[in-house]
Amino acid sequence: MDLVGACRAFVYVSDRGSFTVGAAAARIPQPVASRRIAALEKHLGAPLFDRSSRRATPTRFGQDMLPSARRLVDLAEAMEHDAQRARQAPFALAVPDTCPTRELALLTAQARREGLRLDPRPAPPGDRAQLLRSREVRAAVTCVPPEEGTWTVPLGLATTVEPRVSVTYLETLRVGRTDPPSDARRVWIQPEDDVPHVRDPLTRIRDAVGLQPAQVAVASSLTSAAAEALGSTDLLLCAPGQARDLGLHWRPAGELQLARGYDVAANDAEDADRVREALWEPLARCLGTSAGDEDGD
Amino acid sequence: MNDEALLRELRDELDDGGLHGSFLVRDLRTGEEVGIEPDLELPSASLVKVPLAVAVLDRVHRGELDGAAQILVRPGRVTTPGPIGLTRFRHPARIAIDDLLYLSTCLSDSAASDALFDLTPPTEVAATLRAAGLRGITVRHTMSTLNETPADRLSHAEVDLAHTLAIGAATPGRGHRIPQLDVTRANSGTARSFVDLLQALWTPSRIHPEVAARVRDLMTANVLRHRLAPDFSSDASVWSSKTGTLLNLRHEVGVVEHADGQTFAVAALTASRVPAYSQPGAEALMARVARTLRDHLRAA
Repeated sequence: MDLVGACRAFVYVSDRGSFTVGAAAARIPQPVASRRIAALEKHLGAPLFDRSSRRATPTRFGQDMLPSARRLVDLAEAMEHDAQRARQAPFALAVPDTCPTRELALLTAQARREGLRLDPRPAPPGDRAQLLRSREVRAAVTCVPPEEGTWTVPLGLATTVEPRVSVTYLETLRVGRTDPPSDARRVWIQPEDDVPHVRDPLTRIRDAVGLQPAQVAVASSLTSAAAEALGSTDLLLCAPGQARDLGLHWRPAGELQLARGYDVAANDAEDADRVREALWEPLARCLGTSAGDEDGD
Repeated sequence: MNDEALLRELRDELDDGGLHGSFLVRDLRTGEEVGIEPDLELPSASLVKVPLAVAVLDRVHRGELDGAAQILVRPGRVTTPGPIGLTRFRHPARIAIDDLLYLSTCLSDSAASDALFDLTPPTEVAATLRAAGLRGITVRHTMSTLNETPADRLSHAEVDLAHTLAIGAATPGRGHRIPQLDVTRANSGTARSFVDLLQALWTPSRIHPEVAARVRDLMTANVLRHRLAPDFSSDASVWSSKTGTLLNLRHEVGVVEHADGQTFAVAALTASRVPAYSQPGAEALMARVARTLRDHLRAA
């Protein structure tokens, strides 16, 4: 039986001295109030009201039960209040620092509509994992191999001068026997992509096609990587959306298909599911997946 | 440009190209030299075939061996890419000592070298070097030991793994988990010790002139010309050399003789930190560095 609901009906009816007025105060139909009180009497094993009088007067047993019933109802109301407050506590979510501000704002607005007070915290990949471990955030958008990702973002090579080809082969960067080594063009990896499933295959291809080790380098920030690409013939490894924002020309790499994979990790599995389900679409736009790009191109 | 600035620039170029090593160029007429870490000891790989040729020809000269004597050579039956000559042969062959010297020195045929090591073991080759007053080159083992590296146990697709091991498994004191790369156990040498050997072959020394002349002729006939040769050979000069390659090691030592009589001994011994089998960029870079050093010395 619904013990809390029955106690509520019992407390309201005995306070008002009437089944009709008490039921109305408890915001339930009068027959429901009567049925609940009958069920409670059956549960406790004795009548709570004296049915002989016109007024709803508690029996002696009813008067004995009233203080504990009142405590139960107050406690249930306090719990609901706490639950509402807990639901409104900020939900800190670590996100890639490559997310555009506008998309993050739209994500936060969408989360509000879903009853989640989202607080996005942009950070590079290693810091996001650290923020989650130290419980400074409730969930984090983590880097995973693309085949395991909830979201995937294609990666390619972006340059200032538009290439006349649709695919950029890394081998074309190889320094010729007669070229001075200073002509070597570099591929810059931004901190967001300094993760094993992106950096290591790229390094392996660098060695396999005969580039110099220095021709694939990790930049200390996206800004410095972009500066290298904007100020020279160097290439920036980035997503199509990033290239567009920086005014660079993006091409997929010829030798290998690189992609970022993202998933949500949380200390509480339910938090992760909630973000994945309720915020799939706006997060896709924040991360710059190809689906989120469609209206831009 | 002064020496220091040039050397710093070349060191940076080597580092960008993933190489470090021992370089020395010496003008054999004046004794002037310029180098980068010329006393860094590295496993010598196939460079050991030059001291081997010196030792065998010395014995031929003294009448201990007959250059025309035919030896029955076991086939190497190696099928992995790289090795050539008898090392790839599938059937036994009878070959004269003189011709084994050609195969060993000019084609870097390791099975031919081992047939010669059977007659003149490593200790005897080392003794010949000592008798000639040459120090710094150690000869401790034959060539077959050299070929049993992780690269020969892994498939070609996993060759980067063997190279990753070669690069990463070094231990303090220039030791190495792979014995062929451990300078305390392997055949080894420095750029300076090999330049000393070249000087002893190209200028009067304790090596008999006839022996030295034969070794010089063999080195002139070297067929492996992809490393330093493109930067040193021309119609106005003669490039005589020997290469050495093992896992991440790429070496070449040689002498360039110009038409005007100028003669330079060049030694370039390198180790790469790039885990790849084919590295044409590294070959070109070490040639470029060696050439720049030679040009600098010649212009000085």
